[in-house]
Amino acid sequence: MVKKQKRVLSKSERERRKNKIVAFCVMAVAAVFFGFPFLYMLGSSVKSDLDLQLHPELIFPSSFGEWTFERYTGFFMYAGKIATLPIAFLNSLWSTAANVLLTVALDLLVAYAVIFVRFKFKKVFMKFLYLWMAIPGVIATAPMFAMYATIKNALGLHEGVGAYLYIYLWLIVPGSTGIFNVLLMRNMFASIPMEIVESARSDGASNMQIFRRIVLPLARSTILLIVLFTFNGSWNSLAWPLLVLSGESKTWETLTLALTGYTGSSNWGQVGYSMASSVFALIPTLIVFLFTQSKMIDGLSSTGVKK
Amino acid sequence: MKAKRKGIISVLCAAIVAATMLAACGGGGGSGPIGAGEHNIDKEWWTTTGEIVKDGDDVVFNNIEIKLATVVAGTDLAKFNTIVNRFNAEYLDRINIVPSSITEEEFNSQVAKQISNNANAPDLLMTHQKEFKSLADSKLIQPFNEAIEKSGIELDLDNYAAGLSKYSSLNFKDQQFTVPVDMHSEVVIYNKKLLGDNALPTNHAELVALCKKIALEKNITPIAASTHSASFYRFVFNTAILQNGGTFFDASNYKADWASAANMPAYKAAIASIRELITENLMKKQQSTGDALAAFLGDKALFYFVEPWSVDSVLNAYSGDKNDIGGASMSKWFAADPTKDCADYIYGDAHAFGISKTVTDISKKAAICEFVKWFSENTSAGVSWANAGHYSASKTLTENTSYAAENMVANYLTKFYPDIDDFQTMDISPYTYQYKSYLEQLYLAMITNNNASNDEADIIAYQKKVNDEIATINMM
Amino acid sequence: MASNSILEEYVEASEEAEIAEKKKAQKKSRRRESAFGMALIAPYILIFVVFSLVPPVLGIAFSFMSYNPYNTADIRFVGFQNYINIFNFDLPISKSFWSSFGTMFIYVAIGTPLAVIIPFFLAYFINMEPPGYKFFRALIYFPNVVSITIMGIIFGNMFAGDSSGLINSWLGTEIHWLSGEPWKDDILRWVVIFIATEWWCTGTNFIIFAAAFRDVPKSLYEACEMDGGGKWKKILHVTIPNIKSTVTVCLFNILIGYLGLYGQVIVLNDFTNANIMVSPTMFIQHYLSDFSYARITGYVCACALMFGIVVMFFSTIQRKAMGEHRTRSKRTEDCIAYFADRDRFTTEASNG
Repeated sequence: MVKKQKRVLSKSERERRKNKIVAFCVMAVAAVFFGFPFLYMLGSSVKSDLDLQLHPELIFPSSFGEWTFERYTGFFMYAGKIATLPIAFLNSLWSTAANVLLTVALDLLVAYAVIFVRFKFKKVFMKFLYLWMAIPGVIATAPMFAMYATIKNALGLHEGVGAYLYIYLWLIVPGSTGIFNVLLMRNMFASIPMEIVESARSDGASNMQIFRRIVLPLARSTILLIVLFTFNGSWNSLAWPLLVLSGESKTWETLTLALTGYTGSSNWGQVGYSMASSVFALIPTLIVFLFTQSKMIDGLSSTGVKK
Repeated sequence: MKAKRKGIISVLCAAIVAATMLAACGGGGGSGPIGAGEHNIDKEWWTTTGEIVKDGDDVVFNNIEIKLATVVAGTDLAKFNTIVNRFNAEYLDRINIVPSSITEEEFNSQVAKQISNNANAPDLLMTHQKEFKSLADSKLIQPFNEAIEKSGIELDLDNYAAGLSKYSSLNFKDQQFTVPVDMHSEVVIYNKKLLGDNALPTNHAELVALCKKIALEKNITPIAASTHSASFYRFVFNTAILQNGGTFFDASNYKADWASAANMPAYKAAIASIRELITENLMKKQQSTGDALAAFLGDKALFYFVEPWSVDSVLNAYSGDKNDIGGASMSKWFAADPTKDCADYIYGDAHAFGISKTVTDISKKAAICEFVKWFSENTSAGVSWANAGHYSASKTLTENTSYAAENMVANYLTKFYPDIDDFQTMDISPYTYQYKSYLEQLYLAMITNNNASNDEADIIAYQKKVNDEIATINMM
Repeated sequence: MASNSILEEYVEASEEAEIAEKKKAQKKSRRRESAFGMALIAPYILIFVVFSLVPPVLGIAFSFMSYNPYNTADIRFVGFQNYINIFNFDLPISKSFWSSFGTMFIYVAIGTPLAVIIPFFLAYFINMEPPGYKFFRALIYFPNVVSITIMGIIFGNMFAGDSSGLINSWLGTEIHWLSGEPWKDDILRWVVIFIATEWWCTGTNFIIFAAAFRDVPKSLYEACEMDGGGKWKKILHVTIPNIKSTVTVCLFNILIGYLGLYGQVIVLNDFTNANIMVSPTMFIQHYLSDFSYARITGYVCACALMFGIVVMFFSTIQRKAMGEHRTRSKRTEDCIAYFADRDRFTTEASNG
């Protein structure tokens, strides 16, 4: 009886199994392509300077003696002193978290307004955002720094907690209005069946209730996606922090900025140090990624819209 | 929909016009680029406040913090920071130096933004000598003169390498904008075992003869060098040009004059002297850095072209007796006529100090002078910096016996640069970046072509490219 | 950006009925709703104006000036001179600016389809849930979080020009992967750039597509299967129509993103071609960030605005094209089925 059932199922089951094998093969090939550069990065970060020069063909050190972890230990003890890296790590952590929170909050508000609330200038607003995406951001750097400097000098914020907070305000806030994220969120909201919202509304639910009970749970995966994007962008940003933080106390630096102190263009170890510091900087991103990635996709299937 | 778009556009236009008005109001009358030649400073763009407090002849410093921006990076930075820490310990509660490192590519634009907006501006700048001219032309740095005068801290330019200190004025009459720190270029180390009883070559003919002999005797390619590596194309070709009497631009108008009657032969001779080493199989045309290093470490090459800051690493990596490796000078190696004075020249880069215009307090300026002086006179600082591969540009140090006795200095740096007055960098010009990058490309084009009959056309073509760039900068 | 069109219409239709019923009360609540909506977007607009609108607008203002950000004495209003200069093809810099468009367009023309097709098929296969698919999914996405500098170091070292490069040392060759000039001999460089771009950028679209694939109701596939539809039919008639809105968003972003080609060409070059501008963004970045060109900041800002206009032009065209697509597909069988399907699920959801 059991056997028979199995045989009945087997046609589509066999098909599915075949598909899985094909898919696995494709994925294995893809994994080599996508994974190899990471292996190369990891390997180069533990190769000695000499090995980097003499054995370019090897991924990992040529012999036991050529393994080096000095670059990694250097992140904690540098030039005979305890490095400021842990503090830089905390700076990065809170500013990135603040950036992520602000971005998600703003995006949720905008997307909710645009999809579920009718108001004047809505279309103008969205169209403007679309068009404004085309303006290359780089022309803003010099004026932005001039604004930053003018306000800073006008307020006299040159040292102390005030200056620190002011600088971090300029690190956190400007990145929070990314148009792409707004569009992503808006698109997600647009896919929420309006009937649910309408029926809730006719049941007397307030906007807050609709937002909390219906929209927020449905938007979870998109939120996680935006969290990841924003986290990544904020964590890796270098040029702007370099501009506003250089010359300030070492303990104010962000992690990415602090790590640049370890890479330079003047020695053989350059490649090794770059690789090591990038591996090091990737760790928090990896953690955030591991936490968000499964929910980011699986979250979609458990939102209640469909099973 | 159309109406709405029109609305957006009109809003945009209004914003643009408003912003234009605002910004235009702020601007004064236009001033063109500063031309070539020496200038007087009509109106000082820096200010000085406060009074210097003195105790006898010594200036009293009271907890002065100096922000130092430097292009030094990587392992050098660790050594630099150690030196700075030593200074800070010595001047505890008096002067505190806070260094920060910026990559060479970003240094100028970043520092310029910070100084011109007076935000996060460094007080003291340490970058390559050739970068300072454009900073001064943009009125972003100030001279040392007043601080030296008022504080009595001496920074006499005669005490520094002549080839470097002559640029200190940056073509502003009677001004001292920079103080040289050190010098570096591509250098040559050699294997004493392979050299044997032979003497080190002192001119091009000897170099070729010796290499041919060694090549034949030992069956090796005697020169290990990566002709396409950055340090080689940055320094060696320019050294060859200088040794043959060439110049990099016309000082009267800042334009490149590589194809002029005076320079064309020098440029051709320069590339010919490098190319000869390749065509005679004394050096491989496009050896990778790894292969060159492997050849030298394996006793398979007599000479090895390397950056001075890597010498230490090479010595550590060499498995044989470290004393078998010595330093040699490139003086006269590429000169067609070794009797000329210029045949001794070695081209390289030099770090130098300069003061930001945002520094106004005279005590702070004096403190900067104090640090600069300490850096160029303190033996332990000099020794640490020498071990990072940077030979001091200060004669106070190079003539100091305990500095000169240091292994790195005695056996290598003094061998690389037998006379520091022969060390040259690029002359004063705001366009050094342009000359530099197109000279590199010219070199690479010529060495890749490997055909002397094309050289003239290449030189003319690249001269046009660099002059086009300069014209672009001066477009408005 | 597109998936809601049906819904919008649906909603609008139901709204019209409502409006007919209670017009007056509607008007009042509408006004209140409008105020509420604007209050919701107010924080965003405030931050956006201060940090994202004013600085570029100032940049645009600079394009009408001879502007040196480091030397305010150098500033003067020049009207349209910068724009006239852009169209003066005798100027080498203007030539360089316009020729940078050529290489960029080739890149976009090849890169955009690749950036949709590759993630599409990877997402298709991942959706079959082969063993370890979670790992594969994570791995394919992960390069995205690597910064551009690191990407440059990794691929730059792999494809280094002499035998010190990983690939060259494996092949035993001395290929100059990253050298050469556009339209002459730099095909290999672009191959490397595409490889690096695929490694670096596939993840985002892959994740988005994979999510969209999941969104497609399984019942539609089953229905298609019952109608005797094969693998390709399923992709063509079920998958593609259902993820079209997602593809539209992605395509739009890829196009805009690729027009702004910058990082890859900056980090993957030889120093001999580092000064050859192969994309307008590279051009703008190079001349804006290099101190020695500070005096032509106004001109470069004008170039940036010209480039922005080109991008706007393309995005408008594309959106129009996508918009037409949308209206046509509205009437297809699939969508009606999809809509009916969604109705069913909605009822289930609201019941549960």
